[in-house]
Amino acid sequence: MNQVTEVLTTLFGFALIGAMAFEIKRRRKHLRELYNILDAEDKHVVAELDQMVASGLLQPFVAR
Amino acid sequence: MTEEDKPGITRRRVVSSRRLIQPKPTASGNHPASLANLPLRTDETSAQCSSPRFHFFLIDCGWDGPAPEVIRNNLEMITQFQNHDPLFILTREQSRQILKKHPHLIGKDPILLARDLQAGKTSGESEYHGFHLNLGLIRDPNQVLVALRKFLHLLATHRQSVDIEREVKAQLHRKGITGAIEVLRVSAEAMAG
Repeated sequence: MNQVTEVLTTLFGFALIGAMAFEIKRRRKHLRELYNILDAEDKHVVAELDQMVASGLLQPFVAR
Repeated sequence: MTEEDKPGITRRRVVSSRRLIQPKPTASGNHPASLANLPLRTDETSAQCSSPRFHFFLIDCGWDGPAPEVIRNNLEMITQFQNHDPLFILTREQSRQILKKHPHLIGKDPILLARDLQAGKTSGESEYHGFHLNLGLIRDPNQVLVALRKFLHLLATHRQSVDIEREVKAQLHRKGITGAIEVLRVSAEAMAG
């Protein structure tokens, strides 16, 4: 009976740790989607934005 | 094409200390108070902008949701806490054109993109550097504000750093053991609250 209890406790512990690891991984993935550094895909976007600034299509908004 | 959507329109603002207030959308779903109607602009910043660290860009197609409203109401904060680095606000039409060309961004706007102008100079690399905050991924207005605050806080506190990308990434992505503990702490708070 004791062995069964120990096995169940161990399994429960592993399941808990696994769930925590999964949750951490999921939240980190969400954070990477939310905030990130500019990557290769963004390079073209930034180039286009730079061009718009250089051509005067975009003017700075400055608040006080 | 509305006045707001015309390219080349400079949205100069009048100085105001009041908080920006956005009226509710009309029955057609349009926001009558678009970016063109937002107040503020002053000329005192030209000297301060002589050597900015970042160029900020706001890409917003005009989705009806909490994120656009929150960011419009807090535009002042972006410039105030970033040493008056220039903030360029794309019109809805300009934003839509950008997203049409780069469909991987659809659904993520409003996007606040911070282009680091000095990273390439210090590292000698010619690639573009900087960060983006995809506020359109958040549904809860309070979480939008929290994310914006956190983003601005980190950029402001690390703006003198040589390798700002590494530091910001480590903190925003909650890497390592400390980050994992932080994730669990926030999860526990969310469950409790």
